[in-house]
Amino acid sequence: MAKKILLCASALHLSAAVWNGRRLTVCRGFEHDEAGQRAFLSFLRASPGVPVYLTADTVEEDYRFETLPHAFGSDRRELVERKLRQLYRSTPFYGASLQQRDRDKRRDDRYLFAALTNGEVFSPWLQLLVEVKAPIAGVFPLPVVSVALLKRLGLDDPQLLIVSKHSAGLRQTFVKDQSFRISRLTATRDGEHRPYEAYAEEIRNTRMYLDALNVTHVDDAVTVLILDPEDSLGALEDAVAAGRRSLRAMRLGPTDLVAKIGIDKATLQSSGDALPLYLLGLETPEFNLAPPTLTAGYSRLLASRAIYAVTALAALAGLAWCGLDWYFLAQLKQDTQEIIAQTQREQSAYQEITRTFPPAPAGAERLRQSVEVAKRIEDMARLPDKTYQVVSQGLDANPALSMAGMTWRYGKPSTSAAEPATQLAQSALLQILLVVQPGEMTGATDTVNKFVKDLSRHEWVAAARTVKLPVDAGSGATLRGSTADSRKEQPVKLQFEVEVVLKAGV
Amino acid sequence: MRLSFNDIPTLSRPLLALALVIGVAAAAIVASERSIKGAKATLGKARSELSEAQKRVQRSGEERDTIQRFLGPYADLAQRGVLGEEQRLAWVDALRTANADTQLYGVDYEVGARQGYAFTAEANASGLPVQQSIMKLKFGLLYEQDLLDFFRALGQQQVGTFAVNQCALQRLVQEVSQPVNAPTLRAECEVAWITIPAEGGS
Repeated sequence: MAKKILLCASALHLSAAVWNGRRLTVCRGFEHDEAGQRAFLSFLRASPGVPVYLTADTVEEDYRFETLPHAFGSDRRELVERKLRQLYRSTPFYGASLQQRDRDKRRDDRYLFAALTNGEVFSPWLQLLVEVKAPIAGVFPLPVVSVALLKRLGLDDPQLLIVSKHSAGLRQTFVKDQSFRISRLTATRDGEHRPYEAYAEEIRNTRMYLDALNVTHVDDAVTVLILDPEDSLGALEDAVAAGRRSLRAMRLGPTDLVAKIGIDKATLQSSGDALPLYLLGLETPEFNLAPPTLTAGYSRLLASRAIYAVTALAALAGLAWCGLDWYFLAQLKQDTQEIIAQTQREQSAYQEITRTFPPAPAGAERLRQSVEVAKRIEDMARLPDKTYQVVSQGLDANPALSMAGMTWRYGKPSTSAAEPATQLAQSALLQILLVVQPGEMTGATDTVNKFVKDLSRHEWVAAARTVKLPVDAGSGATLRGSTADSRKEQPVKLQFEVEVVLKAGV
Repeated sequence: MRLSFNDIPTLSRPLLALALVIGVAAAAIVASERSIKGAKATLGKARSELSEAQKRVQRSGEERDTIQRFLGPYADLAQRGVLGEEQRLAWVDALRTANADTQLYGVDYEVGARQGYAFTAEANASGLPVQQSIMKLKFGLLYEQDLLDFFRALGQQQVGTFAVNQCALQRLVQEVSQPVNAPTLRAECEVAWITIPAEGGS
């Protein structure tokens, strides 16, 4: 549990304790004078940055129950704030707590309004707290702190009056159905002969006061719980119950308190305020009277702690993530090592097997591939013999023609009309001669066309076409010549070009 | 707990610590994720290598059969100069012999630099670094048939494998009135001498 500074202020005195590890480690008293304040300052400086929880044991307090119309959210907040401002104009230490809701149709809300009507009890101590920038968690009403005791003791009496003696006097807190109702602090007179008689009288008066307020009925049995850490109220138990059937007394001495609450005896007897301080350390009440301006430092402390908590979570998440990654990484590396070792074993086995292989200049795959590729290349090679045959047959069928030259190629055909360009094919550009008499030009063209047709009809030929005619008779070209005396004209040699492409695979 | 923007400067230290921790954690996570990714890739590669090694062992019998089957033809190719380094001098000698055997009138030749084989895809030889050197030939012929005879004679020399890419024939004389032992055709051919470098060679 986090370290806390617990303070209980009264008009003349301040009790301070350090809460650490579920116990009060230091418990000191400071008088309401300059020396006391100096000592308190030193006390604070010994625990810098530790949140401070205050409670006040003073008669200048006010508790009242009010019923307000049922409301939600900001409406309820504004309603309560307005009521608080009406009730407590002169003090900043006030607050409200929703106690119960009526069960009728209006469902009105019943609030406990409380205030420390004189903030002077705190003023000098608060100034010192502000001076050392101590984060103030809140100001908590002492009776509300005391109610936490019932849970520890396991008391479920419906009407219970808690009586305790403090440095400020006798504190009586009435709890009905486990909820705080009324508290009174009565100053005690030192040196009285039989003080418990006076205390018993006060308790009886309180009982009548409760009846007068209709908080209890005159026949209701009220349990008086006497907290006696100093073991000085032994006679009070009998004095309270004497002649009063509606009052039942129960005293918890130091031994009972130590046994039932867990506080150690030395701490309990070190101060009259040790018990409420211990209870404040055990459980922080939700009912806080401190104004927000006073608890701003504590809010920042909480925010800072929350951020540090998130930081720690982020660090833990990062570590967990990285830890898991490292675990997986180690597993992956181990798997990899095992696989590498297995691979090496397989390779060794393979090496052993290859020793039985016949000696070879290259690997099996290379041998196979080299032989097969070499054969394919040889099979792909062509000589122009097939082209010769095709052209010879064409020329034989057209004896007027003769060949002046030929350019033969083997590769990817340039024309897409023949075969797909991915297959190799033979092609030849033929330069053909034709001797014609003047005036037979039209017949020459027919001869050429017939030759091309004859080539095209051959089963090996994919395509044949005239590339260049001896005369360009097209309308787009210029045709020039002379028609001189026909008797002087000689036969002329016409040259034209024909391209023939063989089918792929021929 | 009520806080405002004015409180942020007072929370600078925890906020800085948070930012620092988030940054360091993010960097560490990124780094470790990268390591995981790298390790997974390494594991994948190792598995692939193991699978390959296992397959090699399983295929070893088949491999032995392949070696026994192709070792002889491979040696023949090597002996014929198809495999390994080019045998250019042997090509020239073979040209000379083919010229003599076919009684031609002499052959002019020019061999270019070695280069990648032009028809690798057509020969389905993408896995092999097949090379070719283009030889340009110029020679005279008496008849067209001499061209075929010459290349067949060249092939019979067994000094390598070649492919004729192109041949241009041009008639020198139009009419032969009297038989004379002189070329009537001029041939210019382009021949690719094809070699397959030995394993581990260039």
